[in-house]
Amino acid sequence: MIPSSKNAPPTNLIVQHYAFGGIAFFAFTILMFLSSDSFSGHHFSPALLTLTHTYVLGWISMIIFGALYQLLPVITLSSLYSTKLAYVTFILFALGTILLCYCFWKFEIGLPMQIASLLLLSSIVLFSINVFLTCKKATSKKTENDFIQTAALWLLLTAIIGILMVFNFRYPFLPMEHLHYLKLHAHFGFVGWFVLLIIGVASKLLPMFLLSSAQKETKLKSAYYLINIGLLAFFIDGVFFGLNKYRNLFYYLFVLVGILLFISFIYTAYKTRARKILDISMIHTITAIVLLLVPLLCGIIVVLPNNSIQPIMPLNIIYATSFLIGFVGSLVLGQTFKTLPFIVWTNKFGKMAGKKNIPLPKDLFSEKLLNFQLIVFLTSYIGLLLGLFFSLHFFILFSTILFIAVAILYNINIWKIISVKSLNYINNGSMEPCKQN
Amino acid sequence: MEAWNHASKIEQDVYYALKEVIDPELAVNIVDLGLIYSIEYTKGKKIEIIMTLSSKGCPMGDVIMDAIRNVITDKFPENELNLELVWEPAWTTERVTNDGRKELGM
Repeated sequence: MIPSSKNAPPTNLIVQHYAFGGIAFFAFTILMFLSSDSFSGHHFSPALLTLTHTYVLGWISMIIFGALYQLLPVITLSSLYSTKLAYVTFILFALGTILLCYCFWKFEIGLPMQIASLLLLSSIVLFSINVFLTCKKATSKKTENDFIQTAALWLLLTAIIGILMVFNFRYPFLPMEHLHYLKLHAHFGFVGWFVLLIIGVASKLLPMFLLSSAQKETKLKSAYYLINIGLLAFFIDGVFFGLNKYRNLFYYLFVLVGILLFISFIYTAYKTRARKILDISMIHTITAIVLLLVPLLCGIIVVLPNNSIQPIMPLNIIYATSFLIGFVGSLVLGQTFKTLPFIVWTNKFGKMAGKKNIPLPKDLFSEKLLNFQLIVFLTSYIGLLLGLFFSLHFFILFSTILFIAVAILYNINIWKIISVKSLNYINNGSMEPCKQN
Repeated sequence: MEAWNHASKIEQDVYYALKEVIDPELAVNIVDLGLIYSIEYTKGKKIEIIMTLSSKGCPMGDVIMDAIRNVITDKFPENELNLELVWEPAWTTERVTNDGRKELGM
């Protein structure tokens, strides 16, 4: 068994996902600035729907798709099932995202939105087929594979509920009110897709990056079952019985314990790491794990029946914001610079390793900018949370401006990596090639 | 370095040459990471290297192995290389040398 980057798909397939993701993140921050007052309103508003979908589809999911095409061969020790399918998925997903976000922004609930949702569903079906058939070829059957395949299933379910809601706008046929399905749609996406996928990938990559001692899979397996049982019960209850505050608390506890087991797994990996000095990408990533505690805590308050805080604060928005921006955002902002430089480096310099004085992957981007990105990100995130907690619009507005700065810093580094020329790097000493001695 | 004191001159040269191969993720050379299990120079002018990786499925595995081939071909053009990747005994952080430990901040 030879571990091989030769199993990896073409670099341009991966790079186009990151490029699109970077632009989508920038677009998100501009839209966020333009609609900063929407954070104090109801969460089911055209502006927040646009913001959320630009963020979760255009940026996060796009980066996940790209990263997964590169990581699946690493995790399964086999090549991606179909590169062509991945290219088609990208086109459908990109078109669907742009059209859907435009329709939400203008709140055009007719044919264009229906086309957008069909494009997205088709792309997600193709993506899932690619994931399942790649995992089927896996020479090593590990828990990570289960997490990734199940995450793809939840993504499919999220998209199906999404498309039902889109058609329900124009031709009302769903038996319960829209907000009820929105709750299911959001949680399948947040927990089923993002959390399961992140656990599956992070449990493989983070110990590898940290050089941690090997751990038993007991915690991960327990997390897998607890989260899925909680979500499945939430799904069945939501579809057939219409949910209930007390039962919701019960489902939430299952998911909560599952996520805490994952945090405990990462904590052990962190404590037993041989690599004591962490690079800035890993600090961003560890920050994300710490920030995960905020939405977990918020979630408890949201699901607690008859709590007295809920009516006086936009807790649902704080819950979603702290999860999506605090946890998922920080994780992607950091991991982009653990994955993309390696992908580009392998393509541009891999063959020259050992022959010439070549840079390392970390030399392909500016660590100073990344450091600055982390500081600005944390400032804007804290500002946003304070603004939401205390209903201070100035804080929210100021944070949205800082988020634009984060997106600019993020994109500069992405473009630095993508546009790197191997010959320039080797011939031009000012680009600080590494010394291999 | 202690384990290599009894090595022949050419084995010692190979040992030092391999220090030029850097793990791209960790930015530490593969010798100090303890990835090289043995270097043997056989009568048929063959250089036999047995190595491992820090984890199975390491995405940089074949890049590191290609780099070893490049270094050996460049510095020892007269010799044939036999590079073998093994998983037993599994790599642990105890294999990292003192220099490697310093660079990793251990």
